Amino acid sequence: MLSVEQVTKCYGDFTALEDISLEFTQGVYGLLAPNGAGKSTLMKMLATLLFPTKGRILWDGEDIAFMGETYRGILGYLPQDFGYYPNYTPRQFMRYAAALQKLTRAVADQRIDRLLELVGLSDAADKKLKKLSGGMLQRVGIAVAMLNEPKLLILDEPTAGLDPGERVRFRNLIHALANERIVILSTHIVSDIETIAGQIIMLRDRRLLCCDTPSQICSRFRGKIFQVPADVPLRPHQHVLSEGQGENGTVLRILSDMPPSAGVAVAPTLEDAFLAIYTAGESEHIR
Amino acid sequence: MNDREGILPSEEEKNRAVMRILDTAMPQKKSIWRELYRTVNAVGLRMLFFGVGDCFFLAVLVLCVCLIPAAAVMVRTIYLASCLFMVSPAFYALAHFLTMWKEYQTRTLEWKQTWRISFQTIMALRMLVLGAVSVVGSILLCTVLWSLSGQAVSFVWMLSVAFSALFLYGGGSLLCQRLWGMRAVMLVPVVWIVLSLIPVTWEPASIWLMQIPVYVFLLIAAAGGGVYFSQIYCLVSERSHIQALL
Ligand SMILES: Nc1ncnc2c1ncn2[C@@H]1O[C@H](COP(=O)(O)OP(=O)(O)O)[C@@H](O)[C@H]1O
Ligand SMILES: [Mg+2]
Repeated sequence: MLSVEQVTKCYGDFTALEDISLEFTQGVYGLLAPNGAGKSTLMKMLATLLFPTKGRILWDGEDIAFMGETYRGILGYLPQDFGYYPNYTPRQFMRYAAALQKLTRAVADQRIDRLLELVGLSDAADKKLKKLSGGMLQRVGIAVAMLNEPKLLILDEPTAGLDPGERVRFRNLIHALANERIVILSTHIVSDIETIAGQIIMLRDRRLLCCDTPSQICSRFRGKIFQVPADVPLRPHQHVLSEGQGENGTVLRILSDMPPSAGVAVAPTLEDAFLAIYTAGESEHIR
Repeated sequence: MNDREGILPSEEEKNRAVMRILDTAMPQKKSIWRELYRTVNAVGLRMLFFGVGDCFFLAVLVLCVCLIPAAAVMVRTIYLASCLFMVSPAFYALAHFLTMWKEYQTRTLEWKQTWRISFQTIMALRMLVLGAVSVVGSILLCTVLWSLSGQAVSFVWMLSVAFSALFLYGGGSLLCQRLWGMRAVMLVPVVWIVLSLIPVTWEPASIWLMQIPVYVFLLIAAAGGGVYFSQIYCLVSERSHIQALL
């Protein structure tokens, strides 16, 4: 079990994260926040690439800063925007990673075949990395992160650059990987995680806003989300969240404490909650 | 029965507790050097230099091109020391710079840093291999120059000049890298070239260098070697080192 205890991270004078406390047990956690909110900073601390300015992070009660190789042995990490050697093939690169993960050649070859199949890259195993698409590279990255069969899998914006079909594939893949381990993935795109994450973590103004199930987060906005025709004038305290196409032309989804004169109440989605929190500045409901 | 199982620690937990107690009771008992040796045996030289083989090729190529004008100068005995001082760390410097630059450019550092054998360990091993290759290279270079110069100067003196330059560079560059990160990786080679060009282009400095006795160079070499190995040690044992490079 992984626990983050009152962690603050400063870059020089700039405080990126303040007083974050979290507990992770088995399951998929979605770190959902806009760009610049501190998602990568938190993930790098969980991967021991950065160390907290204040507070500590514990794995089964032990401070990860002092666990060294033992901790790295249970960790699988995919950086946001990672690099690779363009002239090598996925198989060669994975053999390299496996050697540095201290796997024997026999175990490594077996696992590489299995993982490449799992991520749907068996056919591309011996093509050069520079010939692969962004989505394929991303899947190579996930396979590399899975090489040591980690108990803790951290993926930083793994869906960036994927097309819609690849996103669906990715969600299925995460489902397949989520057994018996902690999976933490970050994104600023709600649809990437609303169906796969058991818990959603949101950050706002450097602090932890919530860590809850998607349905719990949605339920806090119940009775406050309405769909209205686009030509209805809005009153103060009513915020447009998104636009859509209804049967009679464009409709708006709005956040309002009071039912609007025209329009119908709709069930809040995670997307509504996300937009209400980050664009309409509505965080009271969630605290 | 189930209750007891819940209370009693599992085999894994027991082992971990014992390891923790041992670690606290006997800190630094396991030697870093033995760990490094074991790692290089397990990983193999090819994996150690995975992805950066082209850097070595390039380093050798550049060196060959640069050695031709250097050799022309070195034939004149008064420039022997200054040229040796400049040339003997050249391969180490080039290979170190190019590999670090490539690792930095390919943006693989963060990733590698989270694997069991950390990038710090890999870097330390690479530096040791590079150092060893450079020592052999320096001995060869000195032998060739010694015979070419008609054995005009003492071979031991030449070796001491080459080694002092090599270890000074090796130790200094690692120290600067630890203190200032990637900026140092780029700056140190430039500083070295500028510094060693002074005696090569200014005769009085060159003559002065020729008059420095063996033991001074040997002392410099020993001091440089001390810094070099202590920095390798820091590289492997300090968790903060890599942050400057990310
Ligand atoms: N090395 C750094 N030095 C200074 N500021 C940084 C550094 N890394 C990130 N930041 C700042 O910290 C904040 C959070 O960044 P990051 O964790 O990358 O956010 P996210 O991943 O959510 O987009 C941003 O404002 C960013 O500018
Ligand atoms: Mg990020």
